[in-house]
Amino acid sequence: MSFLADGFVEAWRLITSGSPEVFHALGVSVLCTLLAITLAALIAVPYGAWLGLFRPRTGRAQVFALRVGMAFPTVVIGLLVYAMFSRRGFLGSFDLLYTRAAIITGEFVLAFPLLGSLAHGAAASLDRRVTETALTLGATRGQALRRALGEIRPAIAAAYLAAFGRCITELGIAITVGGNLRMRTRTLPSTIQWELTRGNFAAALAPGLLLLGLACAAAVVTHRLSREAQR
Amino acid sequence: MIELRDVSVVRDGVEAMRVAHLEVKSGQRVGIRGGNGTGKSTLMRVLAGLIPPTEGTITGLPRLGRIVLLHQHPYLFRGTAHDNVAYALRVQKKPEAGARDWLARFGAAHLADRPAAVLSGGEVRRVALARAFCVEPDVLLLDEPFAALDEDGAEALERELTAFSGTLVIAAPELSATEFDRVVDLIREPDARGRHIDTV
Repeated sequence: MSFLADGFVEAWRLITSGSPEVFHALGVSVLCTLLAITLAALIAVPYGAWLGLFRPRTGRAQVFALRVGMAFPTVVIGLLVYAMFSRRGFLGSFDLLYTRAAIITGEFVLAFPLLGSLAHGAAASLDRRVTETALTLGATRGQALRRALGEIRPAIAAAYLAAFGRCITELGIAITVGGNLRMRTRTLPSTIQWELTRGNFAAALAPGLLLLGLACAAAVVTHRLSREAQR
Repeated sequence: MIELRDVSVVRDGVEAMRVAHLEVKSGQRVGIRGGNGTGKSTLMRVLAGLIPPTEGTITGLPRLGRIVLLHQHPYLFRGTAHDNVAYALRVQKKPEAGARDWLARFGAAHLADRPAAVLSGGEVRRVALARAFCVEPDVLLLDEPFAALDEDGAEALERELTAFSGTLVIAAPELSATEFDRVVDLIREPDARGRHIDTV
């Protein structure tokens, strides 16, 4: 029991004293996650919404592909990105392996199908009068799509936060393509994994508590936005 | 002139609407009369170019934006009543400043800053009518436009309909033939799953 209590006390001390390693990992985690999901959202959300609203001929196959992407194991995504960025990979010349850019790329691949699929679901269930009204008033398809995105804004925000929750807790990609390099590419989950392998429970618990706080905050906001979307 | 020939719409294997022949001449006022489930709303959406017919041909449809449909149950976008009318003006590349005037024409100026989500059925219809009329389309398709309107609202709509110079198609279960150039009846064939259209 004292092991656990002592661990919490030490973890709390590390957080309140502003441990550079822990807070650097926090910065890397938040930065990589926000950049990855924002870039993914810029493409995946309009794409998913377009699939849901205008139902193109190959739409079902594309939605299926998004769903397969959602179920992709993160370690496999990490392996694919590794293959891309390794020296023999087709992007090897950019020398991006074991950098934050590689982590962002992996998390982009992770977030894209999730955001696309959730945007598709929200758009497909949207009242068809939204696009019909916009089109009949003279909007172009692009304007009607933007209007529809405005109508499903709470659902899109909830999808964004769900992607945040998934990416911020991601370990497989961070280690495989980030390399877990101290004060460079080490994220909160990879710090936990690293400290645990060394037997430093308290040092593993500190980033764990920060991660838990971030995940809880994302969950609370997601829950509130989901309720607003249902109204 | 808009012309429909042997047009039918099939949804999930069920024929929602069938029209053997219908002409709507430019500037004409056409009433489409029919009971519940006769396919009035489907016909209006076909006329608006929003859904393609499963069979048959349609000619003479103006482009979307020149032919405006007001749904039986109009949908107001998120935002205020003013935002809704301003949106229509914006996509038509008209000055948004005119939005309040259009709302006033339907007795809805006092609703301008209210969120669309809190408006009553009659208020939603007034705002939706202002939004449809502000486009000043060539063809106006109104699906049961008087439903939920109170006396003032109905008077305002009558006034705007009188002033409207384009082609007008109104669908409703009950219509007075004297107010239209033509009234067509959508009737359900008793022994068939489909419906057909007949001119009165």
